[in-house]
Amino acid sequence: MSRPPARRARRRPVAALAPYLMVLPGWLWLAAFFVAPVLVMLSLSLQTGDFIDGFRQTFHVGTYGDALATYHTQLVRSLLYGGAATVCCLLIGYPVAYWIAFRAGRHKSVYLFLLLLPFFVSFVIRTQSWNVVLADNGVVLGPLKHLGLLPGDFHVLATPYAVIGGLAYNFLPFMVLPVYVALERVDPRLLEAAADLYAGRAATFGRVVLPLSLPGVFAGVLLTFVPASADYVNAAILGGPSTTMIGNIIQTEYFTNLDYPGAAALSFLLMGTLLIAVFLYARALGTEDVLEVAAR
Amino acid sequence: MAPDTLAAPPPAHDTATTPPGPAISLVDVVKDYGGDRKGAANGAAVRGVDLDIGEGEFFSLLGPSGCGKTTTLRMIAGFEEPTGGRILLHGRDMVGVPPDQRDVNLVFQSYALFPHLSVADNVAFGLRRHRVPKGEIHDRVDRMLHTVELADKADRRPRQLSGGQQQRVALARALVNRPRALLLDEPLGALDLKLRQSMQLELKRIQREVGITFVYVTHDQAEALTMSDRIAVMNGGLVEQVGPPREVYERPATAFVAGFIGTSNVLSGRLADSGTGSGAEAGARTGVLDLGDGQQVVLPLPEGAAAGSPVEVTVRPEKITLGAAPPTGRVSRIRGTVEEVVYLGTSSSYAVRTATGTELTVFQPNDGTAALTPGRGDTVWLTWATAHSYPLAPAPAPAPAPGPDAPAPR
Amino acid sequence: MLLPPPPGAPRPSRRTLLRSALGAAALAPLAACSVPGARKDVPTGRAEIAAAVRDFWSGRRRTGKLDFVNYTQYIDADPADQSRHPTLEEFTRRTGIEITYQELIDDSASWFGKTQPLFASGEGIGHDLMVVGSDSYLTKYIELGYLAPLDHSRLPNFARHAGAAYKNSSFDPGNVYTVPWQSGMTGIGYDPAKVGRKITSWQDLRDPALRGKVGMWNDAVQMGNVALLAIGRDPETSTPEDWRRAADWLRGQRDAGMVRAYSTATYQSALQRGDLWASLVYSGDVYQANRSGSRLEFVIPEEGGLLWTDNLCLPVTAAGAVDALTYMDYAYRPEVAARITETVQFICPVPAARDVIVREAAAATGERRAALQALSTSPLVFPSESDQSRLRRMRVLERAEEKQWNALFEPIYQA
Repeated sequence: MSRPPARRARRRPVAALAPYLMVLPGWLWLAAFFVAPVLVMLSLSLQTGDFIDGFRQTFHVGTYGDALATYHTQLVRSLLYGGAATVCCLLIGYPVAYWIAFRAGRHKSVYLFLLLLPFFVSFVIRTQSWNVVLADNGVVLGPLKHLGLLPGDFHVLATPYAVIGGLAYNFLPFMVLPVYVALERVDPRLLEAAADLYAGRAATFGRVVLPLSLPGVFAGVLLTFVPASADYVNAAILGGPSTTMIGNIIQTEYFTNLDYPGAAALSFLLMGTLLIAVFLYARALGTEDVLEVAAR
Repeated sequence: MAPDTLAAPPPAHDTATTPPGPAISLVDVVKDYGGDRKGAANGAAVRGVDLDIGEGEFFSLLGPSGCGKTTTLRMIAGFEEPTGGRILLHGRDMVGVPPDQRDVNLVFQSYALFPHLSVADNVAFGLRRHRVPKGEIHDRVDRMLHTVELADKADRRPRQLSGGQQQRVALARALVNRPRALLLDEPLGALDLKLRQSMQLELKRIQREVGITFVYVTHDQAEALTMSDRIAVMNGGLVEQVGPPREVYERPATAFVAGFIGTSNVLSGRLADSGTGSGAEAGARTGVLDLGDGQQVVLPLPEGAAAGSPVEVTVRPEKITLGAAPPTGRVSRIRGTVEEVVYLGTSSSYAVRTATGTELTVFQPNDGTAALTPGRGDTVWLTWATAHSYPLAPAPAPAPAPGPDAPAPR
Repeated sequence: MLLPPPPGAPRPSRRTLLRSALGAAALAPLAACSVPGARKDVPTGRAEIAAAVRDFWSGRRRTGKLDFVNYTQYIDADPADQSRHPTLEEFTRRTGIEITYQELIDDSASWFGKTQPLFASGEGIGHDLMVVGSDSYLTKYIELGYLAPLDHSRLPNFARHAGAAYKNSSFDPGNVYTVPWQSGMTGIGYDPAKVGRKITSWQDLRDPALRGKVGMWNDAVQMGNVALLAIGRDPETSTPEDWRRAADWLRGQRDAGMVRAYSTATYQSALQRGDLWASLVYSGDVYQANRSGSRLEFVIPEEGGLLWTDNLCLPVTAAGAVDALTYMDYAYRPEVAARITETVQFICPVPAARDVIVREAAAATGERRAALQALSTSPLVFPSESDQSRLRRMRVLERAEEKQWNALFEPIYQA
């Protein structure tokens, strides 16, 4: 209060601007690679016309209604498949991450590398390879059928299970890595403290390890659910007659039908639906708590 | 009473300071990580420890880092299994019993508070595991938080508290369970000096209030002396001396203890005269270390010491008085030159170099009772009562070069 | 930015002004990025076309350079060195025109996506000659005016040797912009060992014995045309009412659980593995599968199969247009066509090439003789008269029709 106002006015601007200048590159990045494309897409989704005659801005919101009316089945299916794949990733990924973090000892990095190894192969080839592995009379199902453990017409490929399985397989590391990082950060002395305070293995896990790893689970669920719901490769390669996901529709609309407004509107519908789903999830889990633990 | 030294004292003979029925007994406990473990290639972290810790006692394990004190504590808690010997909690052998089934609680050096739980939930953690009724949990947590003066912080998260407050939460979280014994692993190590001193008093108060056995690990000799009923000084995986603070301080049993606790002067030489002392020594046998040139050290004669045998003697700095002329009679007297004088307020510290080259430290009170207050370069005579000469036991079987920070157990 | 209100008009409050200013600022970018139309006027009628040809070709000279872009493995190759193409080297020897040959095209859609902006900006694609399928993208290239009209006075070999079945197709009547490169058929491929009988009709793809073992495509154009054949209509003369019935036929097949998957990405391997017993296929798929050990059969169903053609065409921006036209004519020499067919094994648009192959077979010995004989008698490369009579062209769709078509057929495979 007692500082002379003149001096204050002279010194203030630089000091006050510094933090903003420091985040400027981040803002520019966001503006150039997120805000601008989103605005372009939003604009596109409101245009009408066709590829040959051009698209004109008419603020036609009806495209959204049409898209939703035509493709709500695929949209809901995408969320269901994405959600199911995320649950699979969590059920498989959490124990894997736990094992690597607490039991793998000094070979941790080896196991993490092994986990990532398939991802040095192209996404499509990797997915396509399941067509060979899970072929109706292939290396897995063939012997089982031969032994009479499965009926002859049993198949996994071309079913929703194949698509969900493919999604879970492809996005597993997106679950394992953040969960691993969260578990790795758990101070081993907390586990001793829990044991010292009469917690057995189950209680130590449920009361200490699990809550402390929730930020990782939260991140893992987001990183898995969002891209899995928007994926189109798995449905195209592993799917059957009724497994089309919204990503496949968007791909057809954009690349085959050159219906840019329709494709843009569908993309926004997907984005909106995912945001709502993520928001509800965050609410259910109590983000504040999660972020608070994460911030420690 | 004979100093309760090293190598296997028969348990529970020390009735003067230990209440009957030890709370914790360690019988020849060994922890050997095996040669393959880094940093412990030289063998065991704990090489055969026998201790009896009495009910309600404040017992400290004191020693430098790597001496095995933390490993010993963790074995009592159950986080490490001994490779040999027995650990008895109230007479029951605990070897093989997991930590969650031992009726002791540990206060961690880093507190290890659960970051995702409130202060109250941290404190209630153990009670909930024991399925104590809800109402009782609430009451006990509340009372315990009052005891550690944190009742108003019950809903905070640990990271919202200061270091001293976190420390008290850690203490409350352990004490609320009313364990048979509380184990504390350098609990004040992370606090600054002032806070540490107030927490020392606080800990002592709490211990008196709850009346639980405390086993306290520290490398800080002042802390151990301040708080403990008894101290076990450890070095190289062995206990060098067990006793009340005064005894350990004034009558160190080994050169290590003498050196580790307080400032000590050690003089060595060969025993010149094994005859009995004068009447003034009340019949005790005394011996003399002749340092030549009229200088000598008179000491109570160690058991079985023969003329000519090598002896080390220690004397505490504040027991020595300075004089301008050599004292006469059968008393210790050494001549030296004052090399440094440090004024310390209530006392002054003199560094005196003897004719044989040994540097001795002398404290003299500044209350006007000092016979002489010499300056740098002055020649002085040092003397002290024979009772303050402590012959040191020969060093125990040398621990094979304990590494700088040997087995650092986790 | 905002004009003062006229006298007497209610003065907007500051808040209203601010709001409308913000609104305008937010909407400005939305309004700004309309996608401009790409349409050009395309000449119609004999006279207009002749004028357009004159306009384009007058004053154009040979440059001695030709940039040719094609699909992968779609031209003859030296068996010893796949990167050498003898007919191209021969062309250079004869004409002195240097050829840059690249295989950059993966599929019509992505190639259209890559080239369209370059055409639209007038920058040109840098290639003088390209291969385009007889699909909706070719129609778009033509409608957008991206292709140069051909000067047929400089294509004597085309006039003399092109097979009648491949000339003058509905997607480019009079071959104003294109000449055929290679053709193929869409029919049924099946594994006789699994099916246990001969397949002869599209109706067999609704045989309950094949339930869950039939492969169809996620391609509205092919699916719609095939279904029109299945209900006994010629696609080129079909009506929207026929389309609806065709879509019903496909839906019936789907609802009966016949179809395992609608996928152009996986049907070949699935058929080879036995996961599919019968599938919609291109003729070349079966040839390739059998070359790697399968024993599949290709059939042109009795209701008819589809004939499609990939075409050579010139971008309007071609610098070496004359050189490209020279090559087009060269490709129609029977001995050149024969050599290309020997490698690619698709339907050759030059019937006379067969005579060349028969002659070569007579002159050759051993394995080569057998291979050439097999080639000259292969119904997949030189379809018989009766096969040819059963082949139909695909429907060329107007833009308005395309929407209607897609709305009918897409939901079947995008369920």
